[in-house]
Amino acid sequence: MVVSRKFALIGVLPGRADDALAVLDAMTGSRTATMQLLQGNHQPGIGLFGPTDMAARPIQLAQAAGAAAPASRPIPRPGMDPAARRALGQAGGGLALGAAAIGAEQAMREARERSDGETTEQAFETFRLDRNKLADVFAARAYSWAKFYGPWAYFWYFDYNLGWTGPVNETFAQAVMRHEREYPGTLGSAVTQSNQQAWDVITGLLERSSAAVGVDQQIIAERNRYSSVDDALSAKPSRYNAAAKVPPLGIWRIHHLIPFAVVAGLPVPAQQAFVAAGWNLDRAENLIPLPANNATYTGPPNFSVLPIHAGGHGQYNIQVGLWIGPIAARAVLQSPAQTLTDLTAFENQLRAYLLVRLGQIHPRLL
Amino acid sequence: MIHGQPPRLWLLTPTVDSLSAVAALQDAKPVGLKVTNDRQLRAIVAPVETADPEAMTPRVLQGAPALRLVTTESDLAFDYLDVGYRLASAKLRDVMGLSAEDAQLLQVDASKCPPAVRDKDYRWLHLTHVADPFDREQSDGGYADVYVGAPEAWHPDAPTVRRWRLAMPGPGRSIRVCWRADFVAPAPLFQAAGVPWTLATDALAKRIRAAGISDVLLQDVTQEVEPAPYVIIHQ
Repeated sequence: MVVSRKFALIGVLPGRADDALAVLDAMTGSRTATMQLLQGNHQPGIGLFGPTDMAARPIQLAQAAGAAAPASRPIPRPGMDPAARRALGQAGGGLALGAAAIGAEQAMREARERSDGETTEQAFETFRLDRNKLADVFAARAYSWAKFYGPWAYFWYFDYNLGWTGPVNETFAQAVMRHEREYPGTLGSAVTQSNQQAWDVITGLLERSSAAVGVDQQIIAERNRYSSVDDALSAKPSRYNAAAKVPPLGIWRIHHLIPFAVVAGLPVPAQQAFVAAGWNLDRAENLIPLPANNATYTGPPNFSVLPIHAGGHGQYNIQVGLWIGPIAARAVLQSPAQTLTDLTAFENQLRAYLLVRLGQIHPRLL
Repeated sequence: MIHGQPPRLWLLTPTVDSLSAVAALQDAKPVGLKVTNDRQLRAIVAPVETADPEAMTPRVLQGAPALRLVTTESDLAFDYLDVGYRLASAKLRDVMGLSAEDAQLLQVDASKCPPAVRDKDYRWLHLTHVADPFDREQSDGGYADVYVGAPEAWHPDAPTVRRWRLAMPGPGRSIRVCWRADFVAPAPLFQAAGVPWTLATDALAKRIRAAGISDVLLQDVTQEVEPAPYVIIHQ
């Protein structure tokens, strides 16, 4: 699927997209000066994606100093900023453009100043990237971009299910990182120049990442919650995700209509009566997928019908706790079959109430 | 969704930006946005909103006091937002041009908000008209036993009534929605019966878009779209 440029650029923040060029601007003094340096400066094996006409001449950044041919190594020029000269003298790639130059050290400083700098830093550690190699710096920043800004770029494309967390998000980020390391400047070209070919590459990485994960849905990671009374009253994501047959579109969170916390707060005999009736917390009838974020809530297939489940729901729990009292009270006195009937009817009632949100038309389950 | 040949209707919601901003403020510590008389208002709203969905009579709130809005956020400059109650700015209200018969525009006390928020002159938009635009026989939905009383009065043996409801959206599950070709909207903005949708007529949607109001998301839910399952129209 070709990503429409219009949609692909939604959410990309100006300034952040100009990573490499901004670094050069700091050295040259202006974007105009940077462009003057970039245009016409074409050395084999060295370069950078630039705007406008430079898009037609994508060129590889220098890689590891040891592997690069001497002719591809940038040559310090007189009058160059001393910091840049030192950077170029370090191991790894660099970039010489007329009297200006950029090395990995400069780019790293730039990376650390950004709000996603922490993720970039972690990428170096996690993936053993070399801070002294410019291509590796770009790769680390590409990882960070994909983690944080990728979901915005693919905001309206529910088919990809690129959430802010989860296996698809991580796989995609690593794929973009690896590609950027191999072909530095791809991401910059897509984001700064709206280069459709580059966007297609990024989108292809996303498609392959989604397929590689093997699921076309995002499930918010949950933790196990254990009942002290019976395992049937525990909440286990591995169990309820399978029971609920989680979704292909958007990002959803499984909601227990009768919450774990409510059941756990009931008298033990009542809980035991629930179990004796054959009821368990993670059964499909007690589950409903709810949108986990605003985009999934607003768009299809939900179209703002079911409320957002973005975190805890204390008010809902309190209300359910009040309602379940009579059910729990008579559960210990009646037959298991009657208790199961009560609980099933209660589940259905709660399902219906999600549509009116307990009388309060609020987008979120509170 | 697959649709029939209805008059064109638009699902009207806040934008994702608006929802996100409000949620962030409501979740902040300390809280950045609150309706301080929420409990009082809910007691008035709940019986109306949970009324029998088959009763298509106008749902008018009686005796509702001014909604007391408190926020610390001076940049809360949306023309339309949902704080649990729909708030519409003066600019949006002018564009919509709703009469007193179309909807209730109730008072909002924003005296404890920053000047920029007060300048928005919000009103609480309460939809009084409920209508059923669906072809029930062709749409995915069904009859269910529902309780139609006050939530706090529910108990396991509470009486229920059998009412039609559109199928619950299921992630990955496309719902067939068919619309009555003979449907006439009772007002430019109304609540759909059987599903909590705020629907706008085509004329109202055009006015909102023409005015450049960017805080209202209008989704065309009555036209068949292929291959993407939806069309989102930005202003």
